[in-house]
Amino acid sequence: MGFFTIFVPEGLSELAYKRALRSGPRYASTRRRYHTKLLESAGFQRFDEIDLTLEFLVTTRAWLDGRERFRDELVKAEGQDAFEERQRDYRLQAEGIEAGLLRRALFTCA
Amino acid sequence: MSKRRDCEERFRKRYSAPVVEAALVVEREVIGANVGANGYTTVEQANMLAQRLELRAGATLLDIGSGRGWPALYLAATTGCRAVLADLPPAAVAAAIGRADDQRLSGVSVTRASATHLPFRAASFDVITHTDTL
Repeated sequence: MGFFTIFVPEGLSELAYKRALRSGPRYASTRRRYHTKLLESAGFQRFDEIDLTLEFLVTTRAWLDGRERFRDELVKAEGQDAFEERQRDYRLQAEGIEAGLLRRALFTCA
Repeated sequence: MSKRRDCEERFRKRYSAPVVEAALVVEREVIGANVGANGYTTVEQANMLAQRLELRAGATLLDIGSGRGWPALYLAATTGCRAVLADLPPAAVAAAIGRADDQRLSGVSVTRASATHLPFRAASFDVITHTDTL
């Protein structure tokens, strides 16, 4: 099994954890420990984790900047509200990654 | 609105938006190809996934939350594995079927199913993947 996942790192204060939830995708509320416990409970004996947080920041910024360059065309296709919401989400997410509140990794297990 | 319904609605809207040339340009810059992606898995990372899972011809892959087919269709095309794609938004499922047809991928099937209620018997797959799935 292999999966990419976005998660909140361990060791954050409750305040930072709440900020992390506001920064990330709406479903990224789990902490790394949850994934490892889940894998263990599903019977996976060993798993590898490759940290892709830096790449996550690069792609988030690339979506944000690239979409901004084509703002007019994309607003027409998506609608003003949907476009602005996605841009706001990318901006918040980039800030969250830079602040150490969000991580992304590839887990592979057997 | 519940968190789940909110997410479903967001994905429904996102997958239903028309794909325009500007979006394709941005996707190529971010992901590395036009593959129907709207997340964070680049072509390089999809290759890394295939390598680490040792995907090969004849293996059977289940991709959960498959969206418009990225990266499962790419993995099927590049490794020769059979692939079953599962997701909920009808627009995403339809797009994945269209992409599989366009690429003439014979060993691919797409089903509308939730990760919590998968319509498969246990041990049906050699490999299971998902990418930033809800």
